[in-house]
Formats: sequence, structure tokens, C-alpha cells
Amino acid sequence: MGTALPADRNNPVAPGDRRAALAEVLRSGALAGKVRTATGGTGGPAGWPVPGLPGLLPRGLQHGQVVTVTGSAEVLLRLAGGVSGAGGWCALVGQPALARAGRAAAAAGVALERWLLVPEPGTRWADAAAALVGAVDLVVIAPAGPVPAALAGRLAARARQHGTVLAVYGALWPGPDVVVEAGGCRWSGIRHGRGQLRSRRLDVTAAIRGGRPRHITLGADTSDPAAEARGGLRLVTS
Amino acid sequence: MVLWCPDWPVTASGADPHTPVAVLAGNQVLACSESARAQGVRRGLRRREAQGRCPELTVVEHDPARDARAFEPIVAAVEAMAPGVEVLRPGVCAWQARGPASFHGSEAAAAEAIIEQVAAGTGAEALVGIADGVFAAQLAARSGRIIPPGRSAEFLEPADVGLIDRPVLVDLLRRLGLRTLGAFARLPAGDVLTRFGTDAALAHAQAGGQDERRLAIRVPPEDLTVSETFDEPLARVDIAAFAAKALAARLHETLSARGLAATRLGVAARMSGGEELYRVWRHDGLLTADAIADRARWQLDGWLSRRGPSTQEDETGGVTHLSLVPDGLLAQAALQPGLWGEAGEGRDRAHRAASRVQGLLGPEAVLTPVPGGGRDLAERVRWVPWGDERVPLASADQPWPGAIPGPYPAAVLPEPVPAQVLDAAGRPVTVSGRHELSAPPARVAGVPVAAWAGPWPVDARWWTVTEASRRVRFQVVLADGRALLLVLSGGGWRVEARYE
Repeated sequence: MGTALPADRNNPVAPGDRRAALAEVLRSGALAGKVRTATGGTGGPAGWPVPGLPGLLPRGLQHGQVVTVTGSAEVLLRLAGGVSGAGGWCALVGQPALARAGRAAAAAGVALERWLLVPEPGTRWADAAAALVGAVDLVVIAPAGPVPAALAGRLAARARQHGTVLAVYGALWPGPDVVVEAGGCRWSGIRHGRGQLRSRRLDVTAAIRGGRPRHITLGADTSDPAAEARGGLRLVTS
Repeated sequence: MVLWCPDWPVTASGADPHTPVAVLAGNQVLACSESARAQGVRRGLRRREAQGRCPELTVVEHDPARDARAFEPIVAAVEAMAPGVEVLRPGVCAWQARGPASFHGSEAAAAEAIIEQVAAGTGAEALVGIADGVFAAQLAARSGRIIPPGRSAEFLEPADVGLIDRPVLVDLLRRLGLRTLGAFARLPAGDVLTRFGTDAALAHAQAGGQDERRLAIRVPPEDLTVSETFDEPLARVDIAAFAAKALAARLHETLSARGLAATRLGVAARMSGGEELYRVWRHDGLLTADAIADRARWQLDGWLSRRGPSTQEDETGGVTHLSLVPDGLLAQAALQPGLWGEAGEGRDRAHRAASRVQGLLGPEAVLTPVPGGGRDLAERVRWVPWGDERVPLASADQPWPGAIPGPYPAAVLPEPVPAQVLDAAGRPVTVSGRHELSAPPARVAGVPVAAWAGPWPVDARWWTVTEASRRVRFQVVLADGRALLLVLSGGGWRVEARYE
């Protein structure tokens, strides 16, 4: 009893060697892409790219994350545009004003044929959202008031289970994975009685849970090149 | 025996057949009325040519679905007198002559009786032709003739070879100098088969008056509806869903026993308050037992919970009668999933969820935007209910002068909100008929204005009295950084959209 047991009856490799071999396999990357978390969704490991917000989310939008967005609907549309541009389906529950902004959505990269709108869900918004979470790749919700913690937990769990990104616009949400805040909007191209809104600079901050907040300034010219060429608006009657 | 309704697309279009009418398919005349024909309008003419020959011509777009719909009562009228009617195409149907002929004593009497029946039942003019085969009978119907048995080949002999509806073959035969059906029929059948293929061999047999193609008989649709009456009204969703599940299983069994599958499902319910509810569910693929049960459950969920949880017991009560009506039946073998449109896992999942939400909130609750043309933000993207065809009202490619340029506002208010716009002296800002501003705007709803641009006039549709709208637009940046799109019309300022 006092002596050491043979290393392994079936495998002649000593325990220490085995551990080293396992570490070797893990390091080599042979398992990359073959292993995913037990609760992971359908997507790949990289998440959805967000080209509309360069540098804000270095690893993109992860499947099953809850993202809260405040301060700018355009930033929200750009997040959706990233998912939509990569072939995903997006849905919007509530927010009839944002639902009507189809032009802005298209400009932010959202493919309108994959953009489902439920603008007036009324009191059954949670049922509508629950039906869509798990079926599309990104669901935008905009609850009017504070969300009960139990309901929020249920929706977030469902999103995590199915790998759907849940984007919450303009409302408090208990324990989001990513908090995106926009502010400090500065318009250019417009003066007293002249010009038109042409572009704006917008400060956007993203705080990923467990990471340092990242800060970018969005200043890209989002105006219509054709309108630029025409020199703005003209007096027309038709 | 073939019944032929002359100029069916014209009759089906609902236009007065005594005036010159032409039905156009893709800018070419497909059919025209008798009086249009008298003025020189012919099949195959282009729209402009036809209108040139007959200036008062009424032009109708062709709609095959409309033709088929309108033909249904006629088929039903024929079916009342002769069993086993086959629709060859809208306007033409065929059936076996033997039964009706022996019932009425002769083929002529049977034809007469059926024409009368159709005229009395539907008011449509029809001609009946009888011959050995369907092809010869169709030709006979055009002149309302009855060809005695065995004489069909003789009847077809002088007819133009173009009547066999195969343009490529006809062109070839004409170039070979074969101008009549008789000439084509005299070619040896074996040579036709080896040189021109099976389809031509079939046409060859037809030209010889020997098509013995069996009629594919149209069986009157069986009643496949399954229904259930409940003594105790079902007020709770889960109980109703359970009943629906049993019905769905029964319906699926009925359908699969006949080798059929449904692509549409009608859910009908009678409530204890006497209300009759009905909604049709469409599906891209075939409906399985589970899919039927799901749709019935969603629908019941929508109906029962629409009434509000507190009032459901006493006021409207529950479901007393439930039936599931299969529609769009297909032979199961002929069905392939994802036949049209973009198929894919993502689309299927989204479609299921959208249908589910439509069941909860109604079909108009789930929308999808379609880009289109227009000067208003609301016009430039139109909403269509999910599942409907995505067709824009106006083209987005045309220039729309006066439309607002990008960047586009990310919040377009469903109802523009009234706002007070004051100048530096506290007076409301107005715009004259010459688009002159009374004074620069200084405050919007109490917030100082940092920058502004305008007025940009939009005079849309000034030529109509009712639709005309004279508006001017302004873009305003407020001191707190917000940017608004304001519109002034009828003396009132409103916020149309916010740049968020």
C-alpha cells in the first residue's frame, strides 16, 4: 500500500506527462471553434461585427448579450446595422417613432427586408419580445417604464440561451453586459438661416462588464452625397 | 365535350363586353371583345397599336387569378349536369360526353341543356363542342359544332398547324412546308417521334384527332373541415388550446389519409356571445400536425386574451364551436419546402416568431418597412404587414425634389407634435406666401435656438384640391444639442421628426 501505484494500467504515460500533453493541446489551438460554452447560441465565436461604430466594441456584439443604449437612436440603429449587415435578422418592439425612421435605419446598414417591426405592442410588449428573442438575432426593446427584475431576468436568460442580442433602448435594465452611452452631440453645416444639417460629432462610450470603458467620437459624414452635389435643398413645386 | 367561353379574360374582367375592351398581358393584347375585334384589334397587338386602331378602347390588365375565380361558378354549373369536369384553363373546361348524352337522348340535346344551364346560372355566353378528343373538341367548340364519332381527323385536316400550341415546333413545321394539321398528321408517327421528340409526337397524335388523353377528373372538393362543439364555453386559453390540438391531429390525419397537405389554415370560432371569428393562416411550406396545432393555439390565444383577463368570463365568454378549415391543398408529393422566396433557417425562425406575434396582436401588428419614393419621411418608407408582398407605392429611384436630404432623423413621430416657435420679441414666427420669414426663430417650446435653416417649401400635389398641402420645413438645432425637423402648415408649427 505504501508504494506508488503503477502510473496507469491502460496508458503508459505518467500523470505529469498527460497534464503536459493536455496543456499542449489547449495551447495549440486545435480545439479553436470546436468548443463552445454549454449555453452558447448558434453563432460563431467572434460575435457580430459593428462597422458603424469603429473601435467601440473590439470583439463585436457577442451572442446572447444584453446591451443598453442611451442618448442616441442612431447608435442603436448602427448596432442593429452590424447584425443586419452580416446577414442577421433584427426586430424592434415598441418605439413607433424609431420604427418609422426607415431611412435612418437603412443608412445605418439595416437591411429593411430583415427588419421586423412591432411598433405598438401595447401591454403585451413582453410577450412579443419573448416570442422574438430566440427567433431573430437582435431584438430592440424600449420599455416605457422600469422593467420588473423577474421579467428582465427571464428575457435575458432567454436571450442568452438562444444567442440573441437584446438591445434595450433608453431604459434601465438590471445588470446589462454592455452599456453604451452617447452624448455631446455637435451639429455642423447649419447656421442662422443658412445651410442644412450635414454631419455631427457624437461622443460614444461603451462599458463592457468587467472591462475598461472605451470611448470613441463618431464624426463620420452621414449626409447624402447626392444632396451635397446639388448644394442642399431647392425651392421646388410639383 | 368541351365548353368554351369566348373572350374569357374580357368577360372575367367585368368590363361591358359590348364596348371595345382589350385585356393586356405585358403590353400585348391577350383578348379583346367582339366590338373591339370589329374595329381591327387583334391578339398580339401592342397597346399603342390597338389604341390607334380603336381610340375608345378600354384597356384592362390581365389577371390569371381573376380569370380562374370568375370561371369557378361556370364549372360549378356544368358540374351540376355532368360529372367529372376538368378545367383546361380559365374559360375552357371538358368532360366526358357519354353520360349527359344518354341522359338527354342525344349529344346535341345535352349540349343545348348545358349551355342553357350555364346561361341561366351565371349569365355567361358559352359554346359547346363535341369530338373524339379534347383537342378536336376545343376546336369544335369555337364554332359550336358536334363532330360525329370517328370524323375528328377529317375535321382537323384543313385547320392551320399553328393551333397546336407549341410555337417552336409550329415554326419548324411551317418552314418544312407543312401548313395544315392534316399535312402534319400524315407524317409517319415513328419519324415524328425520333426527329422531334415525345412532345411533338403527342402533338402529332392530336393533329390526327386521336388524342385519347384521359381526362384528369376534377373531383368536387370534399369537406375536409374538422370541427367540434363544446357544451361548456372554453374561456381559458390553455383549455381551448388543448381542444385545438386534438382537432389539429384529426385534421392532419384526414389530410394525410388522402395524400394531401394544406398550405393555408382557416381557424373559425363561435363565441358564446354569438360572435363569429375567422382568420386564415398562410404558410410557405406544408402544415404539419404540430404547425396546425400551434397556429390554432396562437389564434385562440389572441382572440381570448384580446378581451382582457378580467372581463372574459362574464361578457364575451369563451369558444363554443371551433373548426379548422384546410385550404390551398396540394398533393403531398408535389410540395417542396422553400419553393419561392429566400428560404433559410434564419428566415424560417423569424417567420415563425412573426406569425406568433401576429397571433397575439393581430396581423397588422408585425410590420416590415419597404423603401419607396416621396417627399415625406413617412412616404419614403412604407410599412406592410409581415407576410404581405413588399411592393413600394412609388419608385424610390425617381428624383423627389423637396424631399429632405440625409442625414435622416432617427425618430419620425407618428403624429407631429404641436410646438410653439417664437422670435426674439416673443411673437409667433410666421411665413408669408412668398416664403418670407416674419423674424428669425429664437425659441422652440421655450428652448433657445442655436442654429436653424429654412424655410424649405413643399407644395405637393397643388393641382388637386383635396390632396394639396402647402408646407414649409425648418431644421432647428436647440441650445441643448437636440436637432429637430419642424414643419409649418396652416399657421401651426409641429415637430415632425427628431435627429436622435
